[in-house]
Amino acid sequence: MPGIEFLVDALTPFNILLAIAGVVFGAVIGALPGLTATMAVAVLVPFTFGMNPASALIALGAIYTGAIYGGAYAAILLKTPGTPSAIATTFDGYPMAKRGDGDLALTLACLASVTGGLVGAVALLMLAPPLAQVALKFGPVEYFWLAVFGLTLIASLGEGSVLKGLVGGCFGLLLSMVGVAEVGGDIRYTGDLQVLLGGIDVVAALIGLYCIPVLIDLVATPDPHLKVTERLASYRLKEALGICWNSKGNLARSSIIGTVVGILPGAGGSIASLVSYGEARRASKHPENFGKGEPDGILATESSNNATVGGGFIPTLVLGIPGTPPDAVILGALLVQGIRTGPSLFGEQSQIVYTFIYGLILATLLMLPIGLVIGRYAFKSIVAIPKAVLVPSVAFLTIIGSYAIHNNPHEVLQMVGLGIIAWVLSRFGFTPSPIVLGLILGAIAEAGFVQGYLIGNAKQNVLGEFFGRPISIGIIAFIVLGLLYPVLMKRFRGPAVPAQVASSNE
Amino acid sequence: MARDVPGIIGSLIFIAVGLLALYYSREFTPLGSVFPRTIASAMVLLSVVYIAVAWLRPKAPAPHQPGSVWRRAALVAVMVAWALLLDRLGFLTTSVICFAALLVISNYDRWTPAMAVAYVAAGAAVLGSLYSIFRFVLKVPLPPGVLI
Repeated sequence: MPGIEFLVDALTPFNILLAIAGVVFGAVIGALPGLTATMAVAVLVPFTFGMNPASALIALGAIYTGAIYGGAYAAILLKTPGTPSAIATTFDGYPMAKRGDGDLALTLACLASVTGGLVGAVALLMLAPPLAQVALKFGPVEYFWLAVFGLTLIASLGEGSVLKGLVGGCFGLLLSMVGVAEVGGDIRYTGDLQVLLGGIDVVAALIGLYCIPVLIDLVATPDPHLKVTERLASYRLKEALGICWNSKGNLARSSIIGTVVGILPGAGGSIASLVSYGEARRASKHPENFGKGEPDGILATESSNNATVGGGFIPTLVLGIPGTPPDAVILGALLVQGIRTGPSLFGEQSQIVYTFIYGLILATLLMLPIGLVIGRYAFKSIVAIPKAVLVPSVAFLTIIGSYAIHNNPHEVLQMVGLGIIAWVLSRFGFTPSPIVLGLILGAIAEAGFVQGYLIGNAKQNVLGEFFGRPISIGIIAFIVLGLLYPVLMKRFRGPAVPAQVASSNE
Repeated sequence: MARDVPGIIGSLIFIAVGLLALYYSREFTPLGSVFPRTIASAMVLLSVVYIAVAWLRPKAPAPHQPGSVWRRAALVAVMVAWALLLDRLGFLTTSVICFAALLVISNYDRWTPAMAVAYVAAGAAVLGSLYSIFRFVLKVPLPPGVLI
């Protein structure tokens, strides 16, 4: 085990206290819609300037990993992803909570987050330098194909209709083009409104698309928000551990996907969790259960998004290229501390790096008891709160959360507007998930495509640029395999049970 | 078995949006228009295919979702007002008014003095704590107004 001699440095009472406080604070921030892991880290960076570099890094790493996990609370209990990384957690988390299994869903999310977080941190410990070199091989074309790979998941998010999912995805892609173009600087679809020049903020859109339709339907009936069972909010740890053991393949695959996607600069937890969800669904013997409260869905998304934490630190520490948006903030904090990131970091400042990595592993392990306790009380609270108080409280969170992103009242209006559109579209059978996926992947896909096209044009070999690079060929193979997988499985297993059209308001 | 009429109406809306996107893409440079045109064309084509499929292959209609229309409309109106007024009236002032309005809209039980006191106290606690976290801990510059 590299740097094992620095384990003791990570286990000082002060560092353990920082890890606990960081995980708790991060989980609370992550649970509030609109407050992302990036914001949680950014807000607390100034508090770390007076600490020694290793302790500062442990605090920031703990906040980051706690915030990514915290997003699952709102996703499961309110059908609103607390952070973009928890988008896919809503698909099965909320249906589980709705049928009275919210406590089990929260425990599964906690176990999966710890597993994924550990896999990512161990990858950071053992494989950082070689994996960082792989990330450097990704050019615009590879990012384009990665985005296309993500977009193929749209087909599995249509809740009963692949065509509706694809149409919704196209709408999301068009939304991502509002504002100044990534390449070329065209001003597109702003309606001459200056407030749209910056485009549609993904987090504001996320809050609106998921949360407003839930609120509109919550006030429509006197029914309780979540089903209350006889045994109110236990941990159900034994049951959850059994599910995790039976789905160990899914956990391992999703954690590896999360680590790899985390290594790719700019991709992040939202893409990792969506890719993992799609793969878990494709590999499942019962894909028709996904979207209706399937535990495997939660395990896939929560393990992968927490694995991006360790994965994202690999290019950050080895190359000085932030793997995920919170890593960019942490990179800034490192520079303030006088730490020069780069390949020599693991040799010249090994004490700081290995103390931090062991601290990150410690914080991830501490997430288990902390997460279980917070989850239990969160579930009890949400069930106990009368609807008359819950609705305005969640509405207030959506308003203040979307305002706080850029301190911009126009983004609050965007959020409400998109929420109303999402509710109207849900009445026509179009769900928000494909729209969100298109919105997230649109900028990556377009920038990769246009840059790749320009590079190929300059080389006078556009097709070779897109279809001739080794990593691209690998990703294209995955895309083809992913698209053909259901057909192949049908051939080998016989026809699957047709999925019922799930209501978007379930 | 029935045709998915809501799905067909939704697809028609998307066709209109796609055609508008294609129309406005005329103003863009070739580099800036290639992606919007591709996606808008795909959206129109997929919507047409969906309409054809929905017309030719009737299936069981989606379950009707009951609920109060006026409460839904009132919630939407309050949310829009909240977004529009927070900059003019101040964040806390607007939030107190809209929070109270949503409390009334969401409540299905008979009002009693005890319940009113409990709900007002709960609302004050939620608003006060969240507002304080954002304003004083996270240093978010929320628009000032009549109250603060």
